[in-house]
Amino acid sequence: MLLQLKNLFKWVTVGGNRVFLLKDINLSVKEGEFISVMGPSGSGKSTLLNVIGMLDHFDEGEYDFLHESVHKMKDKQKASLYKQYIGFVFQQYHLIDELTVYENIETPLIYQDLKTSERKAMVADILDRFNIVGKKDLFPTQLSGGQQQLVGIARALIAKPKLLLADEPTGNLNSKQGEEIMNLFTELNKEGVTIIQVTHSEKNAAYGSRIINLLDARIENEQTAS
Amino acid sequence: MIKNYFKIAWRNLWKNKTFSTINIIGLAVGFTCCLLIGGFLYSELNYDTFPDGAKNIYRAEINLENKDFYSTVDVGVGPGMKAAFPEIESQARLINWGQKFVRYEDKEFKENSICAVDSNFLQLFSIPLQKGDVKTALNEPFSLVISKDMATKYFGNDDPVGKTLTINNSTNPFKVTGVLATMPGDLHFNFDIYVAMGNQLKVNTWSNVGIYTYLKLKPGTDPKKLEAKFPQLVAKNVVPEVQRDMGVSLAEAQKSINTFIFYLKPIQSIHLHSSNKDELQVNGSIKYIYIFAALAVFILLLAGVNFTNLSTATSIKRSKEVGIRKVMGSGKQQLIRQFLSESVLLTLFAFILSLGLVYLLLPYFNNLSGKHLFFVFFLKYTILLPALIGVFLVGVLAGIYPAFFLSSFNIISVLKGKNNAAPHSTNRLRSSLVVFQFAVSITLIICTMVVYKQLRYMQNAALGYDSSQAMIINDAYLLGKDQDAFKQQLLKDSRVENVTISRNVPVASNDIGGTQAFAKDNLDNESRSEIHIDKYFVDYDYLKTLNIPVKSGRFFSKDFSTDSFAVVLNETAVKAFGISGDPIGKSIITSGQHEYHIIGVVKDFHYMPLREKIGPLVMQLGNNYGGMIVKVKTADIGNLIAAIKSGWESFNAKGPFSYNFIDDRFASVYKSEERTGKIFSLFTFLSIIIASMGLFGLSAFATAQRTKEIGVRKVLGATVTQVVLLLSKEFVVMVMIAFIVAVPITWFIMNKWLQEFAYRIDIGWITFIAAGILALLLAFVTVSMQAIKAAIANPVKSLRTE
Repeated sequence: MLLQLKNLFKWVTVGGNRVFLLKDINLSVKEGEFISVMGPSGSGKSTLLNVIGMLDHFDEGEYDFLHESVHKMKDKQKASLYKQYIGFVFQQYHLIDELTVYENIETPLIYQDLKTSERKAMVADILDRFNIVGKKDLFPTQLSGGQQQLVGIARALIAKPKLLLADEPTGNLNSKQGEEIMNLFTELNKEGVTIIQVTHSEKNAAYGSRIINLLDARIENEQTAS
Repeated sequence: MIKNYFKIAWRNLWKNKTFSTINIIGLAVGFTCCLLIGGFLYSELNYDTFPDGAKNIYRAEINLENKDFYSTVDVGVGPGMKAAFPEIESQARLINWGQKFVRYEDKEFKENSICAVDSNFLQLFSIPLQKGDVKTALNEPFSLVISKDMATKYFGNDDPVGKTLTINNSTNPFKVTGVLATMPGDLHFNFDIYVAMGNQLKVNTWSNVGIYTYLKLKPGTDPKKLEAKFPQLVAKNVVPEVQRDMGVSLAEAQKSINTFIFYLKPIQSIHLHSSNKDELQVNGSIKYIYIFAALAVFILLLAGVNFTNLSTATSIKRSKEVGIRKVMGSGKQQLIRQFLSESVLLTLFAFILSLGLVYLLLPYFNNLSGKHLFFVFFLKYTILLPALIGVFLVGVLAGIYPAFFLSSFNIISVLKGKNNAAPHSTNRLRSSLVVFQFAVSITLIICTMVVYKQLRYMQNAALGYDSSQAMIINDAYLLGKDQDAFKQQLLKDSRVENVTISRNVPVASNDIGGTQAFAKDNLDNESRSEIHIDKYFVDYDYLKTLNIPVKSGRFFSKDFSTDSFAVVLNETAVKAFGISGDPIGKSIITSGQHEYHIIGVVKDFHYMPLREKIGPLVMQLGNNYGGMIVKVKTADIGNLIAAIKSGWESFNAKGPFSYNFIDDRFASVYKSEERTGKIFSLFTFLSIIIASMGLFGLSAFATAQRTKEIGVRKVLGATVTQVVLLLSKEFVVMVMIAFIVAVPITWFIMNKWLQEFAYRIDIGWITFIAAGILALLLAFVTVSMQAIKAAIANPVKSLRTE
């Protein structure tokens, strides 16, 4: 079991009333799964992803990650946990404009206090694997959307995470680029990376082994891919 | 990691060029001020530090009735004290010779910087010689030591040692026995020529002044304990002299023990803490040291504020980066370090730029401050290292708030692009800092105005005499007996209105003589008190020449042969003597039991700079040869001067003709106020520039933020003026608050400064209001530049981009 959410609630208080962002979420994720989270806007998909990624707090319930209780952890412990095990991919890529492709990919390693030589080897590997060696000295603004997302994924994977969280990774891409990214995800999943993606597209969701439908902050239903 | 920090710092600075330029220029200006002022302070604080055992060297001084303080004592004091107290290791004396004419073969110059000293004087002050032996150079009478400049001036490239110079046509020539090396530091005196005292001072008198006497105490001696023993020497040596000279009883004379006090002043405190009338040079003032240091720090603060403000204001641009970095595992501390390295890098650039500025500005600064600093001084590690540490600290201080502010962004909201970058508290901080900047600027504007107002007041004040077209001929004694003949010749010229022979010229306070005196009338009166009066020696035409009005009685006249025992007082003197009723016909008795009868009283006139109160002055007929005052009446001064000069030469004067005008002398008298004014205006200018740059950056940013709002308002029918007012309002309010803050502070400071002047201006509300309006105008122009640009832009454009 990679992670498990039990009776998880998250809310904000507006004018004295609780507005639930997540309501009684129960979810278990095994290593090697590829999960797609779907649902209409505002149903809590991104919030769920952020909570799983430990970027956001929740108000009630339990969250175990690799058999450790996240809900009992301090921010610092959480940070060191997700630094090690979790990678993020965003719809807007979120690359740092002032850094080159190479430096963007290198950054997570810097925060893990790896030596320059190790970092060099790891970045070189991943550039090679993603076929973007020739782009390593370019800045994000010099790349197409698909290429930027590729860099984003490379950056998310550089530290060899167990879990990849992707928030609409193809949302800003055309269908051909999107397909390439999804194929890449499938490939990564086969290599053992657990993936949870948020998506609007039925087509992309179908790449996953399991689809979770959210509605009004709660899990409406779950379906396993055929 | 550090490399990564600096890399991104560099790229960020490059990307935000306006922001970086404002910050780097502002900080560079701040650092330049600090460096230059630091150099100035270093030099000021290191006077009299190089002599061996400088801490044990003291100047013997006199405190007379806690009223008058003299830097000098009498001839006998130095040797007498040395003989009486074993704590004194050595003593050396100096007499300031003032101006002398020095001649070598056919070269003759007037020297202003010449003194006579005891043979061990140079050793006591560890003054190094380039040529000659410092131990023996001044042992023989009629030997002298000269500076390198003097050596070149008189002897060119020849070896000066062994050559002889003539001083004031003395029959006995003086032999050069040594040449001074470059001084290792500054002393509170600086002479070009040191003449051996020889047997000049063998007398043993104690009650006069005029001899600068330095005592070197044995290490570990407590000067307070030594001072406590001085009264016994006063009783032994001063009292009998007072009794004899003033013709008073022993009991009366013994009062001196309590009123005639010798004390020791450490030489290291002379330059900044001593301001007696008879100092060897114009000393610095510790007060100005504080003022300058504060000014430098404030300028730097203003520049630092720009950094803090612009960083937080533009932080929205960085928020995405912060979010991404946090997602990728950066801790808050790492982010803080990153942002700090950015600000440190920026300050480092500014510092490098400021070194260049220092190099360029040093000549002007030296000119302004009267210092002789060299650029290499700033590159010494003793200066550079603390400077770099300072730069680092400034970088950290300026960057610390933005760093904490930026690093505390919430990941999710910044990645979602929510504008939470400027919470209310930050806006308030930013506003307070702008208020601070403008408060400093307004304070400086007012200070500058007040300083100049006071200066102009002193220059234009009614002096009580007519200084216009009054020419002073210096060194009239060079004419010898022909002074009167020269005067008569001058009077024949129709362009000359009047001439008087007197060395005592109002304005130049340094060569006034003085004496102790009391009014005879009050002899039996218990309250009779002896006062110190200033004394002018004048001739019959003094009053006429300077147009000083007589209040009662008459001035000296050739018709009264008894006038050589007569005096004319000023109004203050009449009051000071405590003379009741009509003073005319009464008498005063001066030191040495001379009695003079009062024949007239003149209206008070400013015979001293306006810093000082008019004192009691007595005028007396006397052959005070040495100067002449010529009142001229012509527009063609040039020709008249040429005529006077040829007249001077026809009398075979023993030196060159030299002159100046009383009005010009004011310029030199008020030099220090002039300098203060200049320095204040410079700092004012800089602070305004820095504050305006910051305001420019802030308003540019605020305007950019409100582009959409402006668009909407324009679509709804707002005019350009309304939009400009809307955008400028906030800043104008800040400047007004700054004004309210600045007024009481400035009022306090400037009133304190004005206390130094016996005759001073009222600051007046006009000054404050003028300064406020000026600051407001500057702020408005700065802000509206941006606002107008935004207001006239086509709203369709700005709305479409949204």
